[in-house]
Amino acid sequence: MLTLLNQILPVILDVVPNEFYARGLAYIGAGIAVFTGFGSGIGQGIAASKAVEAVGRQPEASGKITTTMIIGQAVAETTGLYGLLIAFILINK
Amino acid sequence: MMTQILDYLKNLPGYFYTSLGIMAFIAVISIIVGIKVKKMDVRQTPSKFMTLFISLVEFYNNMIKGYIGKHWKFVAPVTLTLAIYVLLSNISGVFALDSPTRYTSITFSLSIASFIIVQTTGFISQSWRHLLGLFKPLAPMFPLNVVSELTPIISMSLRLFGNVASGSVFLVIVYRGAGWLSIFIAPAFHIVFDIGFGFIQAVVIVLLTIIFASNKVSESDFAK
Repeated sequence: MLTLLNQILPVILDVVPNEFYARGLAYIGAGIAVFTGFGSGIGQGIAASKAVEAVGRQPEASGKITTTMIIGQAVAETTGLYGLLIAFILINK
Repeated sequence: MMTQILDYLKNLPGYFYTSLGIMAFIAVISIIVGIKVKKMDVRQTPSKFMTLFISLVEFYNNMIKGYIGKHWKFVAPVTLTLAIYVLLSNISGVFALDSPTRYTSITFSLSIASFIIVQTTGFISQSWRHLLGLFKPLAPMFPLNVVSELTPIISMSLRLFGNVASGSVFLVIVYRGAGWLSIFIAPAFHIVFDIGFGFIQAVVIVLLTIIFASNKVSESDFAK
């Protein structure tokens, strides 16, 4: 492990900020921006689990519950899509 | 002058023609249905083609009546047109067309249309008193209310654009990665990303428009 680190570290430290350097950092930034999907995924999962509980408690209202769940999930998804948008912008940089 | 116009028309992007084609398709179908409805006889049972459209419009009108109340006749045709256009343009990726909702220019104009529908519903229901809604809980809330009226334009357009664009990017990855094997693999992804997500997004943009519009309707309009 230490030998590997010793091989890599000089390469990292001697890096020259040319155009490829900026491009690589933009790709890393795109990867970080897509990480917003983490939160929106958790939110959508919570909404789906609560909808399943509600259908189990009141099966006759399943149509209304499904519509409300889809609307709520779509609104929660918007936050993740903003991250995706930033990633698109960074990739085309 | 003429050459400029011709150059402009020659260099129109591909999705513009897809959008025009979808609109022409909707127009032809609705003209055919309208002529058939006019010629319909009361004593005969309608054909299967007509029954489909009659039951669709009946179902949709009943749904709108539940949300909007008395002034459903303005909201129902406009939002049904919006729904059919968004659904067809999301699905058009299956037919190897350049789907128009993949581009922000189209989705942004769609969300501006939905904003105009919402505000017009408010003006029809409450006339000029609709503007007093901006000062509703307290008068100093005016700037916040203006911002909250305008942000759905951005969020709605970016939601539609992001869903369709991410699906198409994923499909490009599948086609590049699978090579000739994509004959077997790609249809499943088309079903999920084009038809499934496209249908859900069409439902979402229309239902959000209706719900925002129903917030603008005054309470007295719900009474029969």
